[in-house]
Amino acid sequence: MRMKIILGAALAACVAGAAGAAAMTGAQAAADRQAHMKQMGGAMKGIFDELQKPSPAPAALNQYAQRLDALAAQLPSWFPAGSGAESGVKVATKADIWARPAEFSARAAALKTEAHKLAGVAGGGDSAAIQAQFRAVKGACGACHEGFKVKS
Amino acid sequence: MTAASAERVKVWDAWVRLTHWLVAALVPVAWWTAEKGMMAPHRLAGYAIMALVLFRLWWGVAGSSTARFASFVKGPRAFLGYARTLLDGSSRTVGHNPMGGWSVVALLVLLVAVTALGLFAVDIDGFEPGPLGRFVSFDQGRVIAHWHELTFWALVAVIALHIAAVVFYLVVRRENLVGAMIGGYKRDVGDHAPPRFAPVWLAVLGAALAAGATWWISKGLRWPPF
Repeated sequence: MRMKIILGAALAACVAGAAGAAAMTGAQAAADRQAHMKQMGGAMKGIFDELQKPSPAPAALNQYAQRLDALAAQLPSWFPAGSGAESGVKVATKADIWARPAEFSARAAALKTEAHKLAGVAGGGDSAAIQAQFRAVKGACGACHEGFKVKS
Repeated sequence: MTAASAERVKVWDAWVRLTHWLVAALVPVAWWTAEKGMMAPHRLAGYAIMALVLFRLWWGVAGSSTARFASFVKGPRAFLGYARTLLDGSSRTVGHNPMGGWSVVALLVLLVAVTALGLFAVDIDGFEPGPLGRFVSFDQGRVIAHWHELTFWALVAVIALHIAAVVFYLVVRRENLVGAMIGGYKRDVGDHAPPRFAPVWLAVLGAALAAGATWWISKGLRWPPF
C-alpha cells in the first residue's frame, strides 16, 4: 500500500518533471519551490498540532507524513539552475546550493531518508517513535536550512 | 521649585517595580532567543512577559492608587496642560504624569499585541508553532509571525521613546525617575495626597490569576486543562 503511494508519487513527479522541464523558467521554478516548501511546512505543522492533542489520530498523522515523504522525495528537483536570486523572485536560497551541489544533495538525501522513516511509523500509534522521528525530520530540515537558506 | 527641602514620598509599590524590571529584563531575552532561533527559551520568556503584563492589567484596576489606570490615564486637556510645563518642571505628579501615563498605555498595548500574536505565530518550517497555532492555518500563522515581529519593533520604538523621556527628566529637569522605579520613593512631588497602597493579598490573587491564565494558554487552551 505504502509502496504503491510512493511509486505513484515518484512516477507523477517524473512525468510532471519531464513535461515541465523544457518550458520551466527560473522564476517559475522558484515560485513552485516556495509553494512546495509551504506544503511541507503545512504538513510539519499538521503533525505538530496532531501530536499536541491528548490522543493523536493515527490516520491524520499518516496522511501528513505520507505527504511529507512524497514532497521530500521530490525536493532535489526543485532547485534547477537559474531558480536562485537570479530568477528575479524574492528567494531565500543561498548560492551555495549550486556552488556545493554534493553537500546539498547529501542533505536532501538525508531528509528523504528521515521523512520516509516518519511515513513508516506515523500511522502505527507508537507516540514515542513518532515523536522521535518527527524530531529527526526537523533536524534534517534544519541541517540544510542552516547552511543553504538565508535566515529571515 | 526648590528640591532641597523635599521630603521622600513612597510612590511605587514593590509589585509595580518588580513587574517593570522583570519585563525590562525579559524583553531583550525574548528578542535574543528569537534571533538565535532558540524557541524553547523564547516561549518561556514570552509566557513570563505575558503573565507579568496580565498581572499589571489586574493591578491597573485592583492595585495601589499610583498603579491604577483611572489615576493616570488622562484626557487631551491634561496632556497638553502638562506638556506646556514640561520644560520648566513646574508641575509635579506623585505617580505617572499625564504624558507618561500614555507611554504606559502604549507599552502595555504593544506588549499585549506582541505576546498575543506570538501565541498564534508559526515559524517558516512549521516546526514550532505558538501554543495556539492549532487555531490557524500554516499560511495564516506565517502572516501572524510577520505581525509578531512588526509589533515587536513598534514596541522597541516606544521603549526608545520611554528611555529618552527618562533621560530628559534626569538631564533637563533633574528628576531621577530610574531611582524612583528602583527604590519606590520620589522627592518633591508637590502638594498631592499620598498614594494608597493595595493589600498584599490582592497582589497574590492577581499573580495567581495571571499565572494560571498564562499556564492554560501555554497548554493550548485545552479543556479539560489537566
